Amino acid sequence: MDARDLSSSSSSTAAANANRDGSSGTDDDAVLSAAAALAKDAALQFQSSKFAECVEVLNQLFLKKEHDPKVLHNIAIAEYFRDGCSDPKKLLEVLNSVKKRSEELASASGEQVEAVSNLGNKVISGFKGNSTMAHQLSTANSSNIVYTDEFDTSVAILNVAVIWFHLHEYSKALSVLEPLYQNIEPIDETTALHICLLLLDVGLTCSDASKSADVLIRVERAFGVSCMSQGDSGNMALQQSASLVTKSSSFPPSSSSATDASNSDLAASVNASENPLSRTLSEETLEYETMLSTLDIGGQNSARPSGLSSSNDLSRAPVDRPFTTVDLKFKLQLYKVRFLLLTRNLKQAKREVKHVMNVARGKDSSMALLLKSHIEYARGNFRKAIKLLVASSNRTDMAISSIFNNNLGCIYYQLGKYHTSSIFFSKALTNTSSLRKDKPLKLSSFSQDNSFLIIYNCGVQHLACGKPILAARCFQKASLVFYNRPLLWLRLAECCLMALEKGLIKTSLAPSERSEVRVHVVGQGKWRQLVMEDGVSRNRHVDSVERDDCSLSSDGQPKLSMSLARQCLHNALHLLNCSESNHSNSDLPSNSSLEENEPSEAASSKNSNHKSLHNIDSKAFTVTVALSQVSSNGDAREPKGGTSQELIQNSLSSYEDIRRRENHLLKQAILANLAYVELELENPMKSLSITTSLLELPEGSRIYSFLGHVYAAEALCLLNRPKEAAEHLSNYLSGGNTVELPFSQDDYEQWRLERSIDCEEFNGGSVTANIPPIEGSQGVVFLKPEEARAALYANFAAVSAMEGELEQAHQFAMQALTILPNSPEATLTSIYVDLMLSKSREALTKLKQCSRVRFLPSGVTFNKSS
Amino acid sequence: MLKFSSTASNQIRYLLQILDESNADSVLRELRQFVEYGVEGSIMLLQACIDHLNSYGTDSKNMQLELVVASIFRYLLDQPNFSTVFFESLRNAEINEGTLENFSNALHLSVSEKIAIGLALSDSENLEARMSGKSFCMAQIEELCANPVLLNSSERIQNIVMFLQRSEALSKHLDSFMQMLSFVQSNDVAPFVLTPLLSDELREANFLRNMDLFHDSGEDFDSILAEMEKEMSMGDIMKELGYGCTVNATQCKEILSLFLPLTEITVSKILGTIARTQAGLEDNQSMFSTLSLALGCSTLFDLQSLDSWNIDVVIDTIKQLAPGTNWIRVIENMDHEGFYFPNQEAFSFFMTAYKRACQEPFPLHAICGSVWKNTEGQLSFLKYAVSAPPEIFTFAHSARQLADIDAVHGHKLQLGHANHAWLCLDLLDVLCQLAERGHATSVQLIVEYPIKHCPEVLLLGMAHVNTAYNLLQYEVTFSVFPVIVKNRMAGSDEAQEHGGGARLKTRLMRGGGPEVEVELQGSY
Repeated sequence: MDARDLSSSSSSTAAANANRDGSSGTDDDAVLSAAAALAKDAALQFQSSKFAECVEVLNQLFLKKEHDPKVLHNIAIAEYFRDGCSDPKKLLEVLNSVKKRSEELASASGEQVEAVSNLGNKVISGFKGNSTMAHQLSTANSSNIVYTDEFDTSVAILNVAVIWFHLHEYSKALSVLEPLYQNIEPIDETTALHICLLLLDVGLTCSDASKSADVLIRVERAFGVSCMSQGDSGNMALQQSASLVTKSSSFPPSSSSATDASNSDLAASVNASENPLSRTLSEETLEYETMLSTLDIGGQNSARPSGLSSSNDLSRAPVDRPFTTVDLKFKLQLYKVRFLLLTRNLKQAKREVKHVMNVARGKDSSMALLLKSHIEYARGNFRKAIKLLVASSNRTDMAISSIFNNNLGCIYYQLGKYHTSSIFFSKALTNTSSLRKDKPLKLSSFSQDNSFLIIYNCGVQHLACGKPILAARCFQKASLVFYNRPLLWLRLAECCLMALEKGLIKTSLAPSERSEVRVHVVGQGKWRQLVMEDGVSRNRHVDSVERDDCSLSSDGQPKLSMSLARQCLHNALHLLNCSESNHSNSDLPSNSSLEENEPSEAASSKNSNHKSLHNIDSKAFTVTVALSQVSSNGDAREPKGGTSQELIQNSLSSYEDIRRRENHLLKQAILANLAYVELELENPMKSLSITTSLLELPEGSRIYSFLGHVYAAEALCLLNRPKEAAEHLSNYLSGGNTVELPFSQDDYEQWRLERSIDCEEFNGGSVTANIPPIEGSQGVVFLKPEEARAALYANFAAVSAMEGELEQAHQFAMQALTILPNSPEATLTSIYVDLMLSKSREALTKLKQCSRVRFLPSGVTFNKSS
Repeated sequence: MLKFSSTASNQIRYLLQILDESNADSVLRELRQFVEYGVEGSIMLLQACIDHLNSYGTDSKNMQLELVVASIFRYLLDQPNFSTVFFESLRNAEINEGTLENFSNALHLSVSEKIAIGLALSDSENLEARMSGKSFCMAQIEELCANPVLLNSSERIQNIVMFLQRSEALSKHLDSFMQMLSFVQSNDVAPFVLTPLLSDELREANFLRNMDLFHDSGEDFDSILAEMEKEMSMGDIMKELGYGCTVNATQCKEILSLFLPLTEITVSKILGTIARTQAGLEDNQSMFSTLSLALGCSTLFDLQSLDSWNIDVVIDTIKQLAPGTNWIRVIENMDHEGFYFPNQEAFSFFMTAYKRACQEPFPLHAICGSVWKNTEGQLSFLKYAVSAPPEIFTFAHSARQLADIDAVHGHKLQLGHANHAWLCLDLLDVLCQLAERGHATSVQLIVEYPIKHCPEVLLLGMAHVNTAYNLLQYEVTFSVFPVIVKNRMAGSDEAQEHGGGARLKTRLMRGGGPEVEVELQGSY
């Protein structure tokens, strides 16, 4: 990786060099010229990768120009390279202090300048003004601009952003870059271009489509057009074409002394050297990310293998100039494809990638192949995606083979081969792990290390394989980088719910056990009695016992619990609300009718009610697991733009629609899960208010509204308000004692099919059969509509029993049992009814046939009882 | 029927009444137990405590009461359902800021606990309570910001942040709260659940600290990786790849080598999977070939289409890769999630594999020594095992067999299946237990055959088995006994038959225990 940095860094300074040569003749001042010479020397050393020498020269320079932040900056950069890029944290600190210092100096000198504006050249420009390059503007410039240039912090800031980017701290990088981008005109062109490109990387990595679109359009307008005007004439240095642009802008180009020039060049060169690196890395990460979002939100995300290939590009064919026009055009095209992939405009992406292949003719096309592979992946054409992937990469490089393996893992995951995909994910992790073993640690190892992304994918995969504890470990690890994604927190909550479902949470019983009817056999012979256990007393707080917070056990592994699930869901909701950024006051709805109800003693029926609900909602989370791929129908009526700008804007707007729909679904899933978790925590009041918000959402899916009603009913039962509970349920009662299907087969099929939509588009709809159903064998399957109806019958039976309407309860229970003969809830209710009607023989028969019953020897001893 | 609520609340009030210095600890412990009864018990407990506190005041005499109530209140405060419990307990009381203040003063609550009260009320359905909860909460948060204290509950921190972010008016306090947090808790890496809520500075510090731990976190990745590799399920992967992996020994070895070492558990899962999927798997030849391509496998053989696993290849490969495999232990590990025989063919297939792998007689204790966790899987095994012809499966070598059958009667009894299944007492034992774990219907289907063909043997066997409810024993007795008696009555030599019947009865009395005896006498 080093070699790459260096080669590209030297290339970027080449042009500057030429400038300096041209300007050398104009030096007057001895000190100045000495400084200039030193600076030039330093730049030369830097270019030829002699960093130790470079630092030495710079230190000499520092003696002459003591408080110059730029020299400090360059020393920091050179030292950093000298030390093998090993301590990004220190560099970060130095750069931040340089930036601060520049700002201080700028404000100080600004005041000074006000006073002596006429003498400006002498005071400050004195040592730099004269040595301007021949072709640049003379010192006639207003000194203010000189100062802003002199104390320009943009390079330092850019470098800071680059470092954050390498460290996968994208939002941090974004927050650093954003102010620069907002005020980009005065910044010199090379730096400006770097800022834009880095911002594009960040935007695409964060799936920030609108930001990316904005930058893309701007760059295309500023640089792309000029590229066109130059035609494909070839190696026109970007600086020149860029300078054309700046000339047209109202700002006079900055004047600077040789020293300054060399300084800033050096800085820029570092940028340049890091930037490509960062870009390549970023693109790799993006690639992963893509995958991760593809795992999650369906094919929405762009693959951006481009990064990859661009890294290849640079490493293999170091060019003389930072970007030739062709290069730039090529790069922009790649960004565009990535953008189109992000916005799921797959047809256009396919078209554009062909274009890229044309531009790339004669060059290394591995990146384009990777992108193509990703497009095929997004379209659900997995076999082709595999072929392209295999064709694209050389797998000797660890970083690249980790990408390769990860992508294969994603493809197999999408094929429904969850277990096979784990082979590839673990291979990918092995690759990155061996990267990490390189000593000393470098920034590049950080950024090449995509373990966080891979580990996220592992989390999704393990969740699909029904291994919640391991999945949670993966997600927790990934949260270091993806802490601001609502999905991550939803997934973690799902891990908790799945662990609960499987009885893996300490102190809790698995629902399978909880829905078991435990019957104690007491006494012997004639006096033998059957005693049924009261479920309520067994369903005690799931995890009230372990309250030692912070949700990590001593060995740093997440301790799954319902409390943790609640916290995760709160995070998810919080992030989602932030992203929606419409501060609709999410205060809880106010319906203040609190009814007093006689506490009901119908323990068994209550219990059964409770359980039937569990039965339903324990499966709620699978819905969210299947949340993936919210209809990517978007492509169907994909925007067709004429100009590139229109294309980008159309894609953006259709993508925003898709996002809105996804977020809507996400929100419903989060609320439904939260309501369930609150029920599990025996916090019915909270659960009730959450279901109310869920039911108030406009255009909610019928599945979630079903869950909302059922959870609300359970919460109301727990609050001793069975009448209101019955009202919720009666939404589904149509005439007499018939319950309609709470949601249709279509609703049910919807998310099952959503996954295959992409490929349907491709193969004309007949493909669905080839795509295995999403619900893998181990994943829990959501209720079918008919089963949901049975659950409703069971609930009606329980409610009726509580209200003493035994005949009706019997009817409902029977109906539930005809649909689901093994439903323990319905069986229990009907047993309760039989007992109330003194039909103990019938009750006994039912008990014996019930598949959930378990007879236990009595633990009761009668010695102590009085 | 005793009513839970009245009994419980009487007991709570009684406990509070008898409370004095000497018994404070035990009373407290007993009172806490009511929390175990769920939300209902908690509400009753808190209600009683508050009532008691109100009516007896807080004079010096009642120091104990105050302490106990405060301790219970704190305990409830830490429960995840505090908001419901608190609000429901105060259902009849008027709630305003003043009462909240008095209440917290009476119990000497800390600022953070007061905030928890306010937060709990701010969830309530009652508008008035909600408003007073909110403003109470706000006042406490301001107080907290002025006098920072360590908040040790990440959940409470989260709740406060979420509370502050709910409205514009409150969010202005967010910054000062965040500042307070970073001031107080900066000495430690914040819990990961809080990361999305942290301010950028705090997060940055957090992140850099984590970066310092990069080496450690690297090890962390490695440990996750190790765990993943351990969790990888070879059986499931083979199922996903399809029959193609066993097309020949080289290929099979290449795939299985991904998962070395092959432990007995792994082998057991592989066997279980391939038996379950011995037919009907979709042809995944292309899947397998792309996998080989991706893995860079050198050898790609003729892609002949298979319609089942090549069992010889599988077993031979396993033997080659793990020569020390203890096949008895493999069978002992069959009780795993996903083990299930869908049909007789799967069972036969499995037994063929076993015979190929191991010459020893099948370890019967593994399937009928005890009830499995995966009861469905065990039932499916037993179902096909009992009806299998002896050359495929036999119970003849079982250790606990019904002895001296011949002594029962002058001439031989029908033994049912030729594989001696119904002489195996362990089998009967495990079937009886399964019947009492919700599988009564399936077990009854299994014993239908012996009821018809060898009722005496079954009855004799059942007499040796004693379980909690004796469900199956009764069912069998009820259906078998009349049949036997009828047969005997219809027989030619009546006297001899009668004697036989009597001996049968005494045996049952010895083996089955009193209940069986009672029932038998009744039905006789």
